[in-house]
Amino acid sequence: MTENTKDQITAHAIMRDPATVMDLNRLGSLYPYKLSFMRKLARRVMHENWDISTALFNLDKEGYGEVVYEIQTPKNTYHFVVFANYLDPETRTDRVIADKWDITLTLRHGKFNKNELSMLKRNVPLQENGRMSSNSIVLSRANKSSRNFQYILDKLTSGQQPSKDKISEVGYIYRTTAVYGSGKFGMADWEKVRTLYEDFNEPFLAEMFSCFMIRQFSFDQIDHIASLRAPKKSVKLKNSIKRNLGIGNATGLGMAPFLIKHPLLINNWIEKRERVLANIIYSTEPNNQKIKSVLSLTKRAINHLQEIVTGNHQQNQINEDACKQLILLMDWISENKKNIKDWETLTNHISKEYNIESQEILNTILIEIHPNEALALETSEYVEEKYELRPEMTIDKLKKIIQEKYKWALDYNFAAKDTDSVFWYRSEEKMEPRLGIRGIDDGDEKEMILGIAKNVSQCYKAIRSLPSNLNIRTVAEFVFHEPKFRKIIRRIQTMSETFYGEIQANLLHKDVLPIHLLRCKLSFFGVGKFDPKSKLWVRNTMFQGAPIIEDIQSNYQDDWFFPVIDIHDSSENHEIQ
Amino acid sequence: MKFNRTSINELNALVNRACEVYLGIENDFEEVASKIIWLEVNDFGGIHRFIGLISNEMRNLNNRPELLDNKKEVIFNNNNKSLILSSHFITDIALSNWYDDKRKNIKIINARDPEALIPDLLKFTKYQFEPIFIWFSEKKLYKVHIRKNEDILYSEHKIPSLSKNDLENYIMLFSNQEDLEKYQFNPDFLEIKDKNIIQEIHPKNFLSKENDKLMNGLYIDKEAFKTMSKLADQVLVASNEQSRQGAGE
Repeated sequence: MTENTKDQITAHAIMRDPATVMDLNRLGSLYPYKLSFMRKLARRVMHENWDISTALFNLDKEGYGEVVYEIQTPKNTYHFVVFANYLDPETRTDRVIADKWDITLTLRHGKFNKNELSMLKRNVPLQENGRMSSNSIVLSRANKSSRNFQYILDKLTSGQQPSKDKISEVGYIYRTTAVYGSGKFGMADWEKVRTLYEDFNEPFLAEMFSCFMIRQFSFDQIDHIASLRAPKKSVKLKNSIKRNLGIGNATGLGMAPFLIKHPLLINNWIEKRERVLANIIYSTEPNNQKIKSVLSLTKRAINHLQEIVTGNHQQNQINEDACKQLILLMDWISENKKNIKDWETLTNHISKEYNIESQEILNTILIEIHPNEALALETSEYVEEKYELRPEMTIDKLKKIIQEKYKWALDYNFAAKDTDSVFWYRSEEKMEPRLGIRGIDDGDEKEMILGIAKNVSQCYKAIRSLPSNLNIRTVAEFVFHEPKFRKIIRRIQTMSETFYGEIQANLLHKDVLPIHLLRCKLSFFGVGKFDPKSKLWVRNTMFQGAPIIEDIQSNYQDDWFFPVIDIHDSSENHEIQ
Repeated sequence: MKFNRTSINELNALVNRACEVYLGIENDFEEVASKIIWLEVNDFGGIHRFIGLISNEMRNLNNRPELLDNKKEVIFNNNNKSLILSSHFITDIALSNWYDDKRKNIKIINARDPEALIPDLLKFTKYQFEPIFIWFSEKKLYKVHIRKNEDILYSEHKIPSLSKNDLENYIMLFSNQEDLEKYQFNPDFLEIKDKNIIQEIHPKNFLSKENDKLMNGLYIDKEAFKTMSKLADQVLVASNEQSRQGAGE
């Protein structure tokens, strides 16, 4: 047994049970944490002192035109190219099916010239209908926040800064509606990005960086328009306010199939988080300073939750309940701090007394106050996403794996009506994933294969019903006899060697809440301030509290965890002078 | 001829959808798609071969070859179909047998597109096998040897002296070079098998092709791309006001 294998077995012994961690409700209660992709990206940009400058700034007085940023990292040169066009407010929509946007943009590698700009000008604004070159890494678009853009512009034009209240209400100027990478529309394949463009060698870093740059563009554009409208009177957006503005995002069902189709990748994300947490709980001890930090960050988390403005009643209730519980938790810790000799005492207490949301907030706080333990696992091990059949495996062994690893799937009764009453499909409108109701909506004959629990159940049933006279002994013989199970068996065999990865939920159930899937993925991205618009899509804010490019080369404090609006506000009417 | 430049990932998504339509969820369409992509990336015309299949053959959800076991070797009859659709059935059985130390050679009769076996056989090296297969076509012998680290050696040999009937229409698959040597071929074959090389593709050539496609993308002729897209789009469901509610509107 190698040292690595031993370490893995030890870690697995203390990590939380997959049945607990991979429960859909819990995944839907995760918050961004120290190793979320945006945090990781900000550390990289700041520690490596990326040089971000404007190579071309060609915007008219309304802010329409093009801007090219040049990004010089220690290893590479990139360009971030933005096209801003007039958009009729009537046609502005967050939906993926839109075909016009306020801005469209791309992140690309290498040198840049005028010919390339005109090629991009012909293609980038078309988004899905354009073609990109093999050195393009990300293609995206964003729309102005109708609530905030005009307000902030008017304020700056009149020589004032926006108010704290307004920023609390909507913490961004632009909102992205889609961010494409991984080779779509002819762009660079992920494998190329990973191996050639080291700055973005982990999943979604390039996409996150593009969102970071959209945020920068939103500041530059709004400053530019204000300065042309009132050259003498206008002011620029203060850096302290910029840090409190993020970039909005609207995320719908498109993200949900990703989590089901990439279980090895999901396993990697979740296992890393759980491993960090287990290392902290079982290898570190509380002391006065740490307890103080827990209390201080819990207070910050409460403030953060209280600042969230959402019209979604359920989300408001979740945030309110969490705040109430965190206040109780702070009291309990203050009263019992002498008795908290180990972190397990605290996590056991909260597991017994508080809801999932509060439990996961405490977990992210524990990780936050142990940066060394977290950052020790920052570098990702590359996961090759191969789901290969192991044809030599005996059917008995496969059966045992299903019984042990997929018990959660076998517990569903698919004969019951509600258990199999919705289906997922791709719409002809930009292949957007949608949910349909079986027997009512069209398209169940073209259903996407996301019902893992159902497929596992059917496969298990087929194995158990094998007539003995067929003398089928191996997986190879079984899939020859029943080809339709080859795909799910490849998955079962591959995932049996992992700890997490399978989301333990039936996505075909009448009451499935896809929003939990979205929130899980968004939390790993580093997204916060969830504002659900239905059970199928959510608005959220990225990079709120993050450093801005003016902060590069300063002493970076990686402390934008549960960001709260932090602007010195001395004026009576909450205007920031 | 006009071309569409595409990335491997984009082509992969397209081929997967096309295979899902053509083969249905009753088959492991992802496995078939990955073979088509491998053939395309390695200049064996994966897309054109697949388009040939969908244009010329009736869609048949059952692509399993017939398994005719005998004591000496395992024989599969592929019923004149393409191995693109069926090679995984054969290699599953081969690997399982060889793993169990039943070192039977595999004979495949009435099969097309023998190169489709290559991507399936790559994983055999993880099991310490270095499989080798040969086939005959148009007075030529073709040999593919998958060696350690998934290194592929592909060679094409001239065989002018052998009669067509002796050799046509079957593929022989062995678990290693030694088994090939032991096999009772026509003595003339043993004489020429490593001679008269017309063409060789070395592991470094395969790597270079893959790297080139990764860096620069693939060029697929526009008509073929259109045909694939038309097939792939059949996974999509027409949209209406009601279905938009299923997206959260």
